[in-house]
Amino acid sequence: MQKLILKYLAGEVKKKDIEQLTTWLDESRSNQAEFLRIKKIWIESSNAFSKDEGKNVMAFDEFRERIEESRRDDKINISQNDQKPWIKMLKYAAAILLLVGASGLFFFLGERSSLGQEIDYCLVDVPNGGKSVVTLPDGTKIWLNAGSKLKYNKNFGAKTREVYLEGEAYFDVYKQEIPFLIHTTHINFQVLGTRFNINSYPDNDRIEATLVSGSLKVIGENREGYERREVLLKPDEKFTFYKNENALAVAKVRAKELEEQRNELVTKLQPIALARTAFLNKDINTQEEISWVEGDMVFTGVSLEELTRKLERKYDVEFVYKNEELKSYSYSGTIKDFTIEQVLKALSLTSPIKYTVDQKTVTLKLNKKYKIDYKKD
Amino acid sequence: MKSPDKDILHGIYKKDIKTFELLYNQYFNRLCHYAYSYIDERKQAEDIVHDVFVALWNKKLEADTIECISSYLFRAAHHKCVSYLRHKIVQRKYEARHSLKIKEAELMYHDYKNYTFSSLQLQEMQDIIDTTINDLPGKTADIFKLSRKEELKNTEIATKLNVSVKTVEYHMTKALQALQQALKEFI
Repeated sequence: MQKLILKYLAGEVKKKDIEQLTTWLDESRSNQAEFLRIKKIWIESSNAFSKDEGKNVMAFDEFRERIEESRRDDKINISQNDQKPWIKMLKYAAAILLLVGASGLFFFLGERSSLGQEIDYCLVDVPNGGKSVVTLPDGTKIWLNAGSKLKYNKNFGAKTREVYLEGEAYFDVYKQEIPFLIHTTHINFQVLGTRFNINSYPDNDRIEATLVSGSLKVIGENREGYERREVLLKPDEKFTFYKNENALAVAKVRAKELEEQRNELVTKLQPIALARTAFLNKDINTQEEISWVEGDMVFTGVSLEELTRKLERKYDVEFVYKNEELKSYSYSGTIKDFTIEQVLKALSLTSPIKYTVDQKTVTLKLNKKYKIDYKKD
Repeated sequence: MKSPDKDILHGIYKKDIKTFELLYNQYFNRLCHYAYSYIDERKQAEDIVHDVFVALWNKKLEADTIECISSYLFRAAHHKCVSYLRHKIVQRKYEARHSLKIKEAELMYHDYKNYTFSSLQLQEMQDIIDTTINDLPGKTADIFKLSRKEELKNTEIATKLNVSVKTVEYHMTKALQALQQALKEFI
């Protein structure tokens, strides 16, 4: 067996060896421990012999370059009004076309390749804490949520209508003969004219689309070795693609009714209704998917982890968990235009959570005093 | 079992570039070997390790977020490797080899507490490996070094030394057994 493990570590195994090794590992804990011992020796011994200082120095130089780069990227996000230095640096010829929303960024970028060919595209980059509305040349309106990016070709609308989305957006697509295509990291969407919401933040483990009216075609990515799959979504349906499992699901929602309610909700300020729910609400609420367009947040049976990720974007803060178990707590409720302090207060009043704020970092801790009470219900 | 390297941690919180240089010297290679054990492309593995350090540099940290730097780095590298592997599986459909890699990564992850060493222990371990290999019969030592230092494949070593692959495997196993014996207090 040692021989087989060594072969495996050296990357010299055949298919039947892999099967044999997998079975052996599943057999017992002591087998697993044996495997790990050999693996550690494998890594450590290689390291013992490759104390090549030169390589480390080179690697460290690369690290320096990388942190320089990430520092520059940060600057780009902060300095909306001072673009000159980085435009030169990135060889972009850019002009601000429009500035929409409180802190939404809107850029018109033209990138010139070294061959002199123009690959012009527009990039809308909304920083955390911001929001943006974009009207495309064809009359399509797109609301972008915090931390989202939208990219489209400069000659958008001439022959094709194609956009690239990273993050969350609510689309109101103007009806035309030319199909409207939305690319996300894993899934593409094709429509003619309709209203829908897409949620495709890269740090989420899923991509979601909720359709309000019209029809929406979902196209599984067409990469090498990847089966092309198409699903036609009808109004009142929500589509979910699970990235890790490579699986998809379609669920019924009550879209129309809720869209009407949405307008009402905007004028009527609701009290914060944060309540822990013991079950995961399967009845998906379209209100939840589109509500952020109006500045409020509605959520049903979402985990605290997911909720704080949304709050991070909305308020541009960072959450730190002292107790991992908190992440799985489930919440339902509505957050209107409140300050982050009000939201945190509500969290701590309705669940066993203590919080501390240090500048932009919020630390969440388990409030042991209250924990027992919550277990009862 | 381990005493946290206080100065290093302090340097990380302060974003001290010298501390990161030290970290690179101590951990870059080791983490690369670790990542490379999951990810076939060396460049990709190195990229992932750089990402780990850059993320650490950019992270807002509280005074007691990190308890042990080696376990932190290995866990961070681990997460990045696993999500990369998962992505690969999605991309290229199901592959038995990749899912064994993920299984391996999971085992390693649950074991990470046993894989955290102070700088001193790391140094000691390296010295033991050095001595043990040098004490082995000449041919065994040569073959093991070709494998781990030059990172040649068994078949490549066989061709180079004009011996059979079976012979190479025999000597590799011998060296491994000697190291297991010598490092039994650590690993």
